[in-house]
Amino acid sequence: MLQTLEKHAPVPERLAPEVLEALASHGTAETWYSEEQIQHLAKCMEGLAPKARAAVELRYQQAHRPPEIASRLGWTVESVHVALSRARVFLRDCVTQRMLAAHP
Amino acid sequence: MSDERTQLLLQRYFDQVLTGEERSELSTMLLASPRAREEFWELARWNALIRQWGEAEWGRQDAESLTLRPLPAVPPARKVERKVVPFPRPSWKIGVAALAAAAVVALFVSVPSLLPWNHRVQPISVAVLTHSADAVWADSGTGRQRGESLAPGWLHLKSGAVQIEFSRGARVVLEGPAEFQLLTDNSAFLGSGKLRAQVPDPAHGFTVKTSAFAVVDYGTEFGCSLPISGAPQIHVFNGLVGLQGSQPTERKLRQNQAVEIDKDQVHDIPARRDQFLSDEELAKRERASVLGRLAAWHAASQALSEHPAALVHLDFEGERGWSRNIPNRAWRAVPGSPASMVGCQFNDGRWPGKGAIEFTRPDDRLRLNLPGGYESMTLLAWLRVDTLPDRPQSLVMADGLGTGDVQWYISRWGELGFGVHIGKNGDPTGWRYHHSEPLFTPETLGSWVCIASVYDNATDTVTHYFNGQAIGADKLGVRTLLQLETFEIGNWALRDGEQWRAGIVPRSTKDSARNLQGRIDEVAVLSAPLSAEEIRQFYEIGKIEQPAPTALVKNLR
Repeated sequence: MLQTLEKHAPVPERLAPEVLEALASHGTAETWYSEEQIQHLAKCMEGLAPKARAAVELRYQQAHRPPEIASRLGWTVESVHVALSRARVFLRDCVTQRMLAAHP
Repeated sequence: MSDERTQLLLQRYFDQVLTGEERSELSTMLLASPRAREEFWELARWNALIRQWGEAEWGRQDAESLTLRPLPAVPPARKVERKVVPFPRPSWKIGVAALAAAAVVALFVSVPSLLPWNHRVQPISVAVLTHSADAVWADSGTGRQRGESLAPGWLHLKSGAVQIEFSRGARVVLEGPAEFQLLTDNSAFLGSGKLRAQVPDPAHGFTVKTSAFAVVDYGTEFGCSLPISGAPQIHVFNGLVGLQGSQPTERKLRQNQAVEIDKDQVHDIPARRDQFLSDEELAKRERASVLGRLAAWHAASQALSEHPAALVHLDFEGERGWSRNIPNRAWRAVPGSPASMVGCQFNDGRWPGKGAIEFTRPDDRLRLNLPGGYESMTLLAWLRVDTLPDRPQSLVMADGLGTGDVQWYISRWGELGFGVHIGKNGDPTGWRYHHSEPLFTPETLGSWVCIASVYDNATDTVTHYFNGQAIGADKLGVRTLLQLETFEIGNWALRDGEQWRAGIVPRSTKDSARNLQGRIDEVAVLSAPLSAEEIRQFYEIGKIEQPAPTALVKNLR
């Protein structure tokens, strides 16, 4: 997998090694996600507006980058980015609330 | 720099729409601000969660479309539109940073096919080595262990004797020197040597082949000897056996019949049970062999308990009775503070009669208390891992997420992990850790192994050991005292409210579990960094097969 990433990752998009090293200093030991969180996320997806959901699906299900999503949806790249950013914030808040409600 | 600006740039980073200037600006922020780095992680985790949902959803939809779509006569080549989204690829020197930079893609590995051990062709076990008395193997540098699963292939037994149970139920006592090849779960090839087989009804048809003949058993007990020089013999002790050789028809041999095959000529001879080692005799030999090993280990174990830095030493020996407490034998143990057994049960350890704790259920654990902070720490254990679930397994885990807490575990990929929490109390991103290469693979399951991790404050380095050998080391960047306080062996307890912040839901669901599935028969915590030589000695004295030299015991003292 990493070899594939290395092969396909455009060099300008990588962070410099010293930045990665700094990030590593804040690394977490073994973070993984529960089935419960995934289920909450699936429910929260239903709360997204149809177009925002379409952008999220193209990004996270089909692994398209924003320029490709933009051309498919007839948006600008910036609009795609804004829609994805807002969707992530919405999903984070939604899952957090549902987890807190389930585990008071 | 504002938090809003950081968030904006991070969002753009994860969408891969950063400009060159924005990348420089974000890099500066990440280098200068711990807060920015925390935000990076936070967003990376949410991104990863959404991606994991996307992977699962895509797979589900794909499966549904395949189910619903009528199959064309000639399936057209399906163009795969998915592609790998490029994320930063860190250099090997900053392997830990791989998680940071590629946090989003890290969860790709949750797809089972990407797990390292799933790339291998897993050998199918056809038998288990159930008993062993002074066995010396010519083909295995580390020796074979009682309980080890055996795949089809040759066993080269130089001396000693072993019992092998085939998966279909046949049981063979093999005496060395012997060349024995496991063929299937109900057949084997004897190149040379002597065996005695007991074949219950479910293993009807168990076959031992040789280069000259084959013995097919129809639910009985028989012996077969194939000396390197001399004539092969078959002795039937109970029931019925078919002898297939150069003759066109199978010859039936019944109870108390025996034959010798000399140059294609079959001669009747008296059946001799006493020429073949029985299960009972093997068990006696094994007990005698084990007593010697246990005595040597006991002496060394006592030396470890008396080590000036020994904080915890559990050997699971002694009278058990009804007690659910296990004494901590370390000389610096907290008085009156034994390990409490929760759920787990006693079982056999490395040798028959050696005590061990078996962890099987999600709630199984040992709970202990060890107050104080320590500059350095050594963690040692003899354990047997029985399964590799797609989740971490706990070894020694401080409760919760406190500053200085230590975690020792087996990662979901079978690596040995040692982590120290250097963040604020309760911060799930505050870990610094090091993982070894994968050590626990399907090939090592069910085998007793010796593991150790040593954190040396003087060099700020953690070193992992496997069966007495150093297998990797790395600096951790720890600037706090290490602590365990209240901690668990074989499981991990989080404080109330910390579970899901650490990406974990309470233990009610299966995927939140991080309990060990296996046995531990010795575990120790020391407040000093043991040397590589001391770790090697700990292994040499405790290893299963060859007796430890007396000098090693003296050295450990």
